Amino acid sequence: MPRWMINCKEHSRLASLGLDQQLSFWDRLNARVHRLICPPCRHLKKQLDSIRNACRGGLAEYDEDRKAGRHTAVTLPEDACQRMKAVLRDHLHKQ
Amino acid sequence: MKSEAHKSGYPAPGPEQWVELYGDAMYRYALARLFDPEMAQDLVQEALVAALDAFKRFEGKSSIKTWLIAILKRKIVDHFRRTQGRQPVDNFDEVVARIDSMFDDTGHWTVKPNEWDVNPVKAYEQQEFVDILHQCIAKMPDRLAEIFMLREFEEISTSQICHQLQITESNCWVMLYRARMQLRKCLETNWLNEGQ
Repeated sequence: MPRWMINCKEHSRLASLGLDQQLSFWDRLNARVHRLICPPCRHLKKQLDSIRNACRGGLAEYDEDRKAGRHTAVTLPEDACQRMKAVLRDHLHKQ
Repeated sequence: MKSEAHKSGYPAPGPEQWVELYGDAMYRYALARLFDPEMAQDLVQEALVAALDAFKRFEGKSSIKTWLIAILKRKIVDHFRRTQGRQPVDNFDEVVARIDSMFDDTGHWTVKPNEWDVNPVKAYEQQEFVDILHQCIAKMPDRLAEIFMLREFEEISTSQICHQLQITESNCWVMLYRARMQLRKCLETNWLNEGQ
C-alpha cells in the first residue's frame, strides 16, 4: 500500500466523521480511493449508513400510508387514545 | 387552539393535539419493536408525558413529530435496558478496548466487516434490524448511548450536542465514532447470527 494511502482504521474514523460534518476534499478523496480497493471498508460504510437510516426512519412508512389514503394500518385503539388524552390533560393542568 | 407559536417562531401542534396527530404513528412504531400491544401503549403514554414535561425546552430544532418519536425511541431503549436486567455500570474502557481490538498494529481489520443484507436507504423498514438496533443501543455505556441518541434519534448537530453536554466537538466526534463502531459490531453479531 502506498505510504500516502490511509489504512482501514483511519478510514473508519473518516466514515463516521463524514456523518457528522462535511469532510475536506482530501479526506473525501482518500476515503473513496481506500474503499475502491478495500471491500471490508465498503461494507463498513454501508453498515454505518444503514444504522443512520434505521435510527432516523420510523415515520416514513406511516406518512406514505396516510398520503396514499390507506386505512389498513394499525391504529391506536380508541380506549387507549381517550385514556392518553385524559392523562395528558391532567398532566397539563398540574403544570 | 389549533397550534401555538413556539419559541422557535414556528407554529407547533400543541400537546392537546399530539395523541390525535401522532398517536397512531407512535403506536405503530412501538408495536413494531415490542410485539406487545399493551406494552406499546404504555410506552407511547410514557413518551407523551415525558414530552409534555420537556416541551418547554423544545426548541423546534426538529419537527414535533421527529422529536416525539425520538422520545419514544428512548423509552424503547429504556424498556430493553429494564428487561435485560442491565447493570448500570459504565463499561466505557471496555468499549475503547473492543474498538482497538478491531484493528491490528498496522491499522487493518482483525475481523473484516461483512456485507449486510439490508438496503442502507430503507434500513428502517427491516423490522428485525431496527429491533436489534434498539437492543444494541440499550447495551451501550450510558454516556455513549446518550450522545448517540441525541445525534441519531433527535438529529441534533454535533456543535449543539457539545454545547449541551459541555464537551469539545472533537470529543463528541470520538464518542460518536466509538458508539457507531460498537453498534455495528453488536448488530453484526446479533442480527447476522439470528438471520442465519
